[in-house]
Order: sequence, then structure tokens, then C-alpha cells
Amino acid sequence: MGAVEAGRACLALLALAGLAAPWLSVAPNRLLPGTPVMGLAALGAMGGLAALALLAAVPRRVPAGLAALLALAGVALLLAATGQAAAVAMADLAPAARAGLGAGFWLSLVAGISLFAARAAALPTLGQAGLVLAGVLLLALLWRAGVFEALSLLVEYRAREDAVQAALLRHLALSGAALALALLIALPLAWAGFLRPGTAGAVGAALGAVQVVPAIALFAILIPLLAALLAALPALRGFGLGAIGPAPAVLATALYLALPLWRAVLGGLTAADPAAVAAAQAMGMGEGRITLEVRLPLALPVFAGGLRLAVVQAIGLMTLGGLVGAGGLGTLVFQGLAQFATDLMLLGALPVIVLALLADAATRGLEHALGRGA
Amino acid sequence: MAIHSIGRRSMAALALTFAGAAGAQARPVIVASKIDTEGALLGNLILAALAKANIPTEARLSLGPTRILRTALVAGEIDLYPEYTGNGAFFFQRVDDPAWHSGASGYALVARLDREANSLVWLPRAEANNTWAIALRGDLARSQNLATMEDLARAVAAPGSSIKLAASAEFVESPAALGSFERTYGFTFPRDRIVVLPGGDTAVTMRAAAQGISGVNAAMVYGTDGAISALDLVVMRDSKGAQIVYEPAPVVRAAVLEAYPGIRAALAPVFASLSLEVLQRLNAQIAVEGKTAQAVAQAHFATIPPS
Repeated sequence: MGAVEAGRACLALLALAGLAAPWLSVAPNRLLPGTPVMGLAALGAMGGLAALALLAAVPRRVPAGLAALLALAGVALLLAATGQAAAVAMADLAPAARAGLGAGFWLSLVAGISLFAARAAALPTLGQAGLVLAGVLLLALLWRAGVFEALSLLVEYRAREDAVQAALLRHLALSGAALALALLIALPLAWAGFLRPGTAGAVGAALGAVQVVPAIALFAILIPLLAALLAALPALRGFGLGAIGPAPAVLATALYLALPLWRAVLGGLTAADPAAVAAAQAMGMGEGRITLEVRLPLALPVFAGGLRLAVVQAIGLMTLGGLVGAGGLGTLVFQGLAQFATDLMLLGALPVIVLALLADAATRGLEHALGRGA
Repeated sequence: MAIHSIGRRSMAALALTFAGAAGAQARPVIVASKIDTEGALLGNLILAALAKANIPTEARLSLGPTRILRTALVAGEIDLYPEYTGNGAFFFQRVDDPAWHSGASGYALVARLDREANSLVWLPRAEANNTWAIALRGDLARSQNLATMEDLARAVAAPGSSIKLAASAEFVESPAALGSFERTYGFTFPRDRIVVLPGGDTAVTMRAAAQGISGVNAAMVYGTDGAISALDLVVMRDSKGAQIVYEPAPVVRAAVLEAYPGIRAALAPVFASLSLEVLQRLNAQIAVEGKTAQAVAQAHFATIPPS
């Protein structure tokens, strides 16, 4: 058994271990802790079938495409069986009763998806895209069929569908605005640092100092500062600027993002091999053309790396916007914290994780594409 | 044709008049609330009441913690939000003033101070005290007939007492919390019978008492915590007023109240309807049963008789 195969076997075993752990938690209401139901007891035959599918995805002699399909089927079976088990558990209980997801579920889910990803990685891009599409369609199908409705997470979602969708869009808009503002700060500073390397030290220290301030403190400190600014210049209110709400959240997040962006742009601009620059100069190129045709292509992959970091950081940090009235997914997280409702917290946190992973994948793709192009 | 044009001109004149009247109060009332369960409930109740009174509102509920809301209100970023009388002790740094220990005098004091310093008006409050309290398991309280802090002080001091408290570190260490109870009721809670939790989650302390974890049968709670009755806990009444009283009241900027004087009459019956038990029950519907604050607020608002 090769190392790669052994790694896959480990993933499959982790998924099996999840089935032997608390899978669902059945509670009389949202606050009381529930009684755990173990994985196999909750899922029955469908759980066993899912385990077999995941195990079958491990061996090397199973072709990657088929194995990835098997892993996908295993994960889908787990999800469907979980929803069904929750519905059965809730059937005779009062409306306030809840079926929460236990540690075993999350362990098996992550292990199963990792196994799928490990097998799909060996496929050509087109095959990967097809499999991911199939997975998304399968999930949508289960969702539309109402398989998950009995789960506490879904009960929380159904109670505030519009708010969750609005929070998601707002979270994206706020993160995008913070990223744009950070670029506005970082690009000129990096260009100045490239032209006059002497300034880089001071700018780096200033942007670095921001990173030392705890995020929550920076969000809070901006409110009185913005309020003072608005009191001095009330005309700014006309632009929709306020001391609470989106302004402090976007500003604070942008200040954090400025460092990775500035560093990446500066690093990218100075990445060009001096020999290549010298060669371009020898060919009679001007500074402008050298930057455009030599430095920029070499800088882009480095820059994309910094952008990746900044995008993921923006999505994560913006969660704190929930504390300064900016809205976004953080509002759900903090409401859940206040009500001690784990599933409401998850309702805010899970989309943040998924968004961050998607943004990471997208910018990673960009990084690779630019890296290959250079 | 002539009639038509006259009609049109008078319509335009009418529209102008309306625009002029509306211009003075064009901005809707920005209603905010704290990010906790009760904040969402009170905020939605206020919105429902103002909507019924045809006062235009803009909702900024669950805006943030106290500090954010207070700053925003004083700065005029928001116009109205529900605040607790006892927080005046910290807004004006007068923690030692005895006035905070009664609902009526604390309300009068904070209303006067805020009116003078910040042009804020405290509208009629709800007589429901959301302060620190100690709650016992229902079975224990009933079997030993314990209802007030005097009863609890006696029971704790009795030889062979089995009362064990779960509380936050802040509650145990702050002289204004457990210390104030001990001084007022003349007892000492043996520290080896207190399970100290570093966080301040009353959900954790209440769960510990309700489930009897590590022998805990008493919990630090807030007076209007929704889970108290759901977990069959009984709050020991602070009959001598050891704690600062925190009763919720809508606080509004004076200028906004002037523009919309109807706010006062719209909100008074709402807050009058909120007794301690009612607030506990409504909070429980949100925190325990998982209903949305909006649904709970609207259902309760429908039961309030028009004043």
C-alpha cells in the first residue's frame, strides 16, 4: 500500500469513526442539551451503505473517476440519511424540540469530502468540474426534496430566510468594499515604496502596527473617531458615511488588508530579476515599458498571492461587522452567541467558512494561471 | 379643459403644502436595539407600536453591545433604543449613588441626568428588573420554601447546607454583585461551595443548576432570562434591594420626540405590559423555543389593549 493510498485509507477510517460517535443530538428545546444518538444507530442501513461506498473509494486499483463518484455517493448518502434520521427523531416530539448535528457527523462529512477531493484531484480539470457540478446538483436535489427540514440548523434558517440571504449578500458587499478600499491604500503606497525604497520601512511599520491592534478594538475605536469627523464635517453624511454601520467595519477591515496587499505589490514589483531589467534596458526600453512588459508580468503571481490572503482575511474579519451595526453574517453569529443557540451561530459561521474556501480556491486558480503565464 | 388645469394647479399647491409639512420631519425615527435576545424583542415591540401609531421608522435592531448603542444615540446616529435604568450608574459614573437600587428613583435620576447632559428623554419604563440574581432549582426552592434572598442567606448559613452555586468570576469577585448580597443580607457564601466559571454565560450556570452538574443547585442569572422558567429555576427575590435595578425603558432624542410627540403614547402601554414574568416568558419563546423575536413581539403586541 503506497503512502497516498494509506492517506486515503485514513480518511475513510475517520469517516467510519464518525459513524461510531454521537451523530445527532435530540433536545427537548433549543436550550437544553440533547441526548446523543450514535451514527450507525441513527442512520441504520443507509449509514452502512455510505461507509461501504467510502471504503470502496480507497484502493488504487479503483480508477480515480469511479472512486471519486463512489466517495461523492457516500457523502450524499450520509447527508440524506442524516436528514431522514432527524425527521424520524422529531416526529413525535413537541415543536420546540431540536435535532442538532453532533461531532460524528462533522467528522464523517469532512473526512468524506476530503476523500472525494483526494480522488478527484487526479482527474483532468473538466472531470473535476463535472464531479463538483454533480455534487452541487445532488445537494440541491436533496435540499429541494426537503430532506434536511427536520435538522435544527434548517429550522433556524427557515425562521429567518430573508435575513440570512440579506446577510450573505451584505457580507459579500462589505468584504468587496473593504478590499477595494485596501487596494486604494496599498497600491499607491507600494508604488511609492518601489520608486523610493527608503519609504518602505516607515510604511511597513505603520501598516504592521495596525495588525497588532486587536480587531475588535479597532472596530470599536473607529466609532468615536468617525463620529468626531462627522461632527466636524457634517457634509460627509451626505455621502452615506456614518459613525456606526458599514463605515467603521469597511474601514477597519481595509486597514488590516492593506499590509498583505502592500507587501505583495511591493514584493511583486521588486521580484523582477535585475538581469532581466538590465537586459531590457540594454534593448533600449524606457522605464515605463520595462514596468509594463517585464516587471508587471513577473509581479502578477506574487500579487495574486497577496490578494488571496487579503480576500480570505476580508471575509473572515467582516464577521466582526456584526458588532458595529454593519450587518453581514456576523450579526447571525453574535445573535446566536447571545441566545446560546449553537445552530444560529453555525448559520452565520458556515457561510463565512464556505465563502472563504470558495474565495481561496478562486484566487488560488488565478495565482496558478498567472504563474503559468509568466 | 379650464377646470382640468385649475384642478392640476391646486393639486400641485396641495402637494407643495404636504412636502413642506413633511419636510420638517422627513427623517424616519431610527429605532435600534442591543444585540441580545431581550434587545431584539424590545426593538421589535417598539417597531410594532410605532407602526400602529403611523410613525415612520427605520429599523437598526441588534445593532451591537451597549457601548455602541449609547455612543450612537448620543451622537445622533440613532434616535431611539431600549436601555436599562441601572446603566445610568456607569454612563454618569455614579455607581455609589443609592438611587440606583430602586426602579423608580433610578429611573428618575437617569432621566434627569440624561435630559440635562444629552437632551435624551427616558420614556415610561417596564417594571421588570433585569439585574443579577441567584436562582435555585425549583424542587429545592419548593421543598425548603425559599423565595427571597433572606431565605437563601438563612439556608446557606444553616449547618449541613447543600446549596452549591454556579456563577461567573465577575459575579463572585465584584463587590457590587455577590459582595453586595452578602453585606445586605448578612451572610457569607462559602467559596468552596461556588463553582466559578470564567465566562459570564448565564446559560451555562443555569444549565449546571438545572441538570445538577457537580452538585450545583443554584445559579447566577439575570432577572428576565428567558430560560429561568423553562429550566424550572426560581429567582430569589432581592427584597432589600442589594443590587442595582435594571429596568428597561425606551430612550429617545428630545428633538425626535418633539417632531413625533406620538411616540410617548404609543410606547407607554407596551412597556407597561412587560412585567418580569411576561418578559421571561417572551424571552423564553425566543431563546428556548427558537421563535423569531419579530413573531414573538407581534404576537404580544396584539394582546396589549389600546390605551
